[in-house]
Amino acid sequence: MSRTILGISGFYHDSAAALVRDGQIAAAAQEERFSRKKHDPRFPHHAINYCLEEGFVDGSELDAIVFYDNPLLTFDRVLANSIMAGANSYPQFEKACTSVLGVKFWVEEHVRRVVGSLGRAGKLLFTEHHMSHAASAFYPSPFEEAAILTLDGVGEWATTTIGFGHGNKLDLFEQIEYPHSLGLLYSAFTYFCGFKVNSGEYKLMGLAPYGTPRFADTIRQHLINVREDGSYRLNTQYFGYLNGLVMTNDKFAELFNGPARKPETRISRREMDLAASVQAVTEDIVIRIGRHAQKTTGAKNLVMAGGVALNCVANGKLLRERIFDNIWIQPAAGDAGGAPGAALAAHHLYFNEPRTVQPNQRDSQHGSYLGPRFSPTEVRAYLDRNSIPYEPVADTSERLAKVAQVLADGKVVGFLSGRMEFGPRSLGARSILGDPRRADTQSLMNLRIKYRESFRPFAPSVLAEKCGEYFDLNAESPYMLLVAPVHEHRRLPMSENLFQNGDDDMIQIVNKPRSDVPAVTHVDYSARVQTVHKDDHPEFHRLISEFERLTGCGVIVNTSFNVRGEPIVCTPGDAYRCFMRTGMELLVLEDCLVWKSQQPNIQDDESWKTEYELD
Amino acid sequence: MNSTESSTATNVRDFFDAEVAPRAAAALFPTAADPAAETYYVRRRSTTMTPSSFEILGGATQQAIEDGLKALWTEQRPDWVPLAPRVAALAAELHQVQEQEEELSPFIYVMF
Repeated sequence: MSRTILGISGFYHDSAAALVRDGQIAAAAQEERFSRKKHDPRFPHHAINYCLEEGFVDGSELDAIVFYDNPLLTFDRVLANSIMAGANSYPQFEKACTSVLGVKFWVEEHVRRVVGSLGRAGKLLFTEHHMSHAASAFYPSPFEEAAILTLDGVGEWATTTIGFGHGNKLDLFEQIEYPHSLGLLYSAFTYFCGFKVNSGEYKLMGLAPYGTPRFADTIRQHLINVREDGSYRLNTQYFGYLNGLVMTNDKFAELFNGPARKPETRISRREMDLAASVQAVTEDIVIRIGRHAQKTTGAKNLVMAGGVALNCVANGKLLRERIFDNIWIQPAAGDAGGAPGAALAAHHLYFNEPRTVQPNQRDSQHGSYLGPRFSPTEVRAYLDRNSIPYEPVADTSERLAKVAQVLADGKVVGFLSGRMEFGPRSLGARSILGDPRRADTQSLMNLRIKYRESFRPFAPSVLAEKCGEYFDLNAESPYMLLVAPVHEHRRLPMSENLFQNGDDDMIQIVNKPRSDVPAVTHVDYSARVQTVHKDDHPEFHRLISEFERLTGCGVIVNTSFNVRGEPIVCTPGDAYRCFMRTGMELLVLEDCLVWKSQQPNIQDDESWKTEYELD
Repeated sequence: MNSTESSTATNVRDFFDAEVAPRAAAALFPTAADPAAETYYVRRRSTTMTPSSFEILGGATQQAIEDGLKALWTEQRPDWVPLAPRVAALAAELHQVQEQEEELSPFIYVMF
């Protein structure tokens, strides 16, 4: 029987919607891409509308609508937390009541208002937060059976779960519960190092290779007690989130020789070493939990989701431990992925529909290209309507040859092609592309294109069939969720002095060539790899192939199509605005080339730089 | 803050003072390491979801919220069951005066 189910995540961060039809994700998108508010937590009415339109389905035709977590259980935790925290926790309790009692409990009203119906089920369904994560990891995976590991800040109570999926069945056996949370530990250090919680974790991970893990033992001695099986407990005396409005407290600051770094101030050696330390502790725990999950389930395959599963450095190390033969990670591992996860859970566990694994041993995430697309006709209509000069090049080979040449000349290209990605990474549908062979590409793209911190590394998109020539990676990494070492024969020696002389000027380190693909080689010779398969995005694959034909290099730099603080672009209009405000030379909008040299002077003043709150 | 909001805030405060603060001595979850524990993993009460476990709230009404909380707490925290009507009433009050005002909660790390 054909089933169409709408999944919704929201009211926390990264609200999203997804449409699942007959067990396949037909559409999925984050609200931020439409509202243009990064990590938008509001009810995802734009994303829902998109999903219904993409599926040509009316709300009343939906078999079910599913919300991705359980508000009752969330309030249970809020109440328990406030009781434990005592009288001083009132400000936090009041806020929580507003969020949970005043908003989340009434999600059905939002659904009725936006969808106009509760679907054929006639009632809103709810899953558990970590069940949604688990479902998002297991059901689209290429495995008939797999161990399941979910790790995040906190769901209702759970912060880590271990389980097993087989066929259409999904069981979570064990969990670690709030306030003990690997995600919250990492977020505490994110906050303490001056980055924003729930978006700066990625920066902290990128900062870690600049430091040495000299605080790792301190963390283990004072902050987190880890058992051999990877289970852990935090010492809550050091954290502020139980009864206060900040992640860490004075005791935490004392432990690390001073107060938290103020955002946007210079990053010191201490922050680099803190980043390295918490990263090392995290990796150790993830590997231990992985071993325990394998021992418990006997599985050869592992699937993962939850915000911590976006820690691609830890993922890469887990893979190299060879605890499992194969690992698959949901690309929208954070809360956005709860939307397809909730819908998939309902499909298989509420309606008891069977699950079919793809016969070609590939996943059913469809490259995560699950968002809106804009046809060449729509693109041209937009360009014509706005009198934007452009060059239409309908012949794909001719067009990609031109684009590849621009890249080979060291210029930066904005690339909008096909359906928008679902999840936090740009995978060639909404990407800014560059030449990885140039030593100055990283600082150029960070400072003149992205307007972000110079230390942040860029990712390589490599032809899947050529991955082994560049990286020590024996697995596909289509979603940029595995970090792997650049092959030794490609590396260039780095001066140890740059790190050990206490020199905090990271630009010196960043601009030092580290390999023959320096722009995508991090300071520890690692790279956050995207393997590009010709079946997932044929045009992107052809572009890299053409770049390789011109240069001999089967890798390009791929970063998200946005500036700092801005959500990744969705529409041609978003892309054009971003293009005109940055140092890109060429914008590719489907089959149209928009050259910067042919554009009129932008009317904007510099005030747009404050349009997006810094992340 | 208008008079309705002020009254609601007072009711939240009253609930906190009457029901939350007096229970402060309760040890509802561990807050530090336990040298005697072999593992910190907790076995889950239910390992999967059944059709009925998807149906936790029978609608967006004060009564449905009260029923949902009672069902949850009857099984897991019987001493909290009497709180359900008051919590549901607070939810109804807060719902009347609160739309989601903040675009991104400053307390997102606590994951309300």
